[in-house]
Amino acid sequence: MFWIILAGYLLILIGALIFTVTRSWIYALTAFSLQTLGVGLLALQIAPVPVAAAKCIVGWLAVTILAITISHEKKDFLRDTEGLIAPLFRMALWILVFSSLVVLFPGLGGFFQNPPTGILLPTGFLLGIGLINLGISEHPLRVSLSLLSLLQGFELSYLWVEQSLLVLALLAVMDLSILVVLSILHSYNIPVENSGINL
Amino acid sequence: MNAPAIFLITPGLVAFAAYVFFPRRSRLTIFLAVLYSLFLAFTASAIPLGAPWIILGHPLPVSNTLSFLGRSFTFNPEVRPIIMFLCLGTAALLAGSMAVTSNRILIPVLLLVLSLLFASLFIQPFLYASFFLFLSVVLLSLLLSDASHPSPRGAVRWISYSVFGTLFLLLAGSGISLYSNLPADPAKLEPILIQLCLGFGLLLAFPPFHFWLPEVSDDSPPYSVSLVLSLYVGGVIFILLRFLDGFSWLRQSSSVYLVFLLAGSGMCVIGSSLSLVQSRLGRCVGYLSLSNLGVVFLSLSIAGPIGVKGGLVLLALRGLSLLVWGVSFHTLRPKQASDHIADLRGRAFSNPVAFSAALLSGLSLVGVPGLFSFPAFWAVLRSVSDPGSSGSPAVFPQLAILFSMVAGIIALYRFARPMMQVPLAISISREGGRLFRALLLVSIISFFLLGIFPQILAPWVSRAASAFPNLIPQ
Repeated sequence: MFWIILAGYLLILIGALIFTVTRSWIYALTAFSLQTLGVGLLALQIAPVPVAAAKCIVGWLAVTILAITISHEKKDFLRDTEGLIAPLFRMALWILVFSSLVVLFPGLGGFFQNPPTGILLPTGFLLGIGLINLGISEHPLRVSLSLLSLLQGFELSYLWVEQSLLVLALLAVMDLSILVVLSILHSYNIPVENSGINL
Repeated sequence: MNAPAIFLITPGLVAFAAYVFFPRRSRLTIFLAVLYSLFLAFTASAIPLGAPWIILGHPLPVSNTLSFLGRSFTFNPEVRPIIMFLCLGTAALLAGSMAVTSNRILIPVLLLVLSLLFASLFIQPFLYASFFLFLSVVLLSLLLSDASHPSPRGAVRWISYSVFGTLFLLLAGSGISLYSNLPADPAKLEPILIQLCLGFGLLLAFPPFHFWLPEVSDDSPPYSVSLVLSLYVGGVIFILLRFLDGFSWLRQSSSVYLVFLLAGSGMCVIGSSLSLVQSRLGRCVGYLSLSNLGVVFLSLSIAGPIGVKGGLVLLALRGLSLLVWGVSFHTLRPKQASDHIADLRGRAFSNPVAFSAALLSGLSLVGVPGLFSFPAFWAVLRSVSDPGSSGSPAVFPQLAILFSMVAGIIALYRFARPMMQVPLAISISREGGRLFRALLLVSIISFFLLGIFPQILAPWVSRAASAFPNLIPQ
């Protein structure tokens, strides 16, 4: 179990770092997939394998929907025209979240009826990363990924509080509905010549 | 026959049929959808629970519980009035959509949202109602953008705020369920109250969580904005009342009523102040609706039956005002046209009926004397008191209501004045269709009629308060 938890931590940290720093969609989606796998591995501490697997599947479904939406935009997946300062700034934010978490960590447990440390730490980290990404971009698809990061963090600790099948299903529906609706809303805003989507 | 299934599953089937089989949103589709909503309202009132339903002489056994994925959806008799309230409100909103042109998903979305609001009333334990509220946000946000209103910024912000609101409510719900009675240690209550305040504050656009409201008012179809500000807000208020009704320690806590008082006063002052400095009509009315919601909260701050009944009456009148506003503003601001104060000159001459209806609905939102919201505003103004001072009148909330009235009138006058100026060239054309003019004329008459005779509507609406037996002892 130790190696599984360690792998989960590393995947979340690396995934969140890449997702925060890069503006390239292909890297962002890959990073989010890794992060999702990390969440699934960490969920194994408190939930049975099917529940953890379901968390992973929902995250990967979200990545698939986003990839399809972006591919319809006929944009270059690797487009990343930023200079060096902006990614460094975002990396500094990532470090800030990580270091703040270490300081604020003892007070977080009360919100979720004191889950184990191995769950609470990634929860706080994902909530922080989600919030930061939400604040630095208003692009609907970016917002959807940021909200999903935030929700993944919440869901990880909420598993400690509630594991009923209906609640798990509703959380999954919530995740996917955010993504689908924001993709549809985004499609209205794409110039016609860039869009292959016909809604 | 399963009673919850009628209200949870059939709206989905009808929504599917409306989308697939009626691709062009004809008046017939709307008419059928209105009939269906009325049928649901009738069923809610007539269906017997725990006894067979006699239909054409044949007894049909009725079950009031539906189990799904380990949780139950239960149709309790006390929720009947709320279901009827929601069904009749939806029927009115659907009927109003006949007068506006909107996209084909309007009817399916409205029916699905209705089904989600029912689910939020039936789910046991009702703490999970916040999930269904969030899903209704997601669905309604689909109406906020279309090809002629492509900017999704307001909808994106609304979804983001609602995610946070839902999460806070879920957290509060997991804490709240631990206490069936008032905890001895008040410190234990504090985090739950804060989470509830944040959750409902985020869902109801309490400042500073209102930044989606101006964007949505600017960038979205007016009728869709009206739907969001009436139907959705109504759903959230019902869930808030169910929280109060369901937990004795919560409704016995004076802090809750103090929070309502402060939130209501704050919304009145902030909403009406911001409406004064707007240069776009849509935003101005968006802020006036915020101020109106503040009065609803001030009504709820009055402990006992008067507060809850007054709040529900205000909620119903707010829905009617916003419905008329949505239809009339749709005409005053055609697609892609500006609603900037400088571009509205002479609109009262080209669209006299729509202008009158829009002005009256705006004035009704701020509770101007003579119009149908005024009796409810007056009741709140007279009854609102400080929860900590054993019923003595509280000056600040009363001043907040008066300020919101005066500021609202000034804000609307700022827009009405250029609209009533003689335009450089008057374009004479027929204003909308016959149905559109009839709808607006009827609504103009009812603004005055219900203002003079509030007893026509108020007793019927206030009956919905019986859905909260612990708040309104029978």
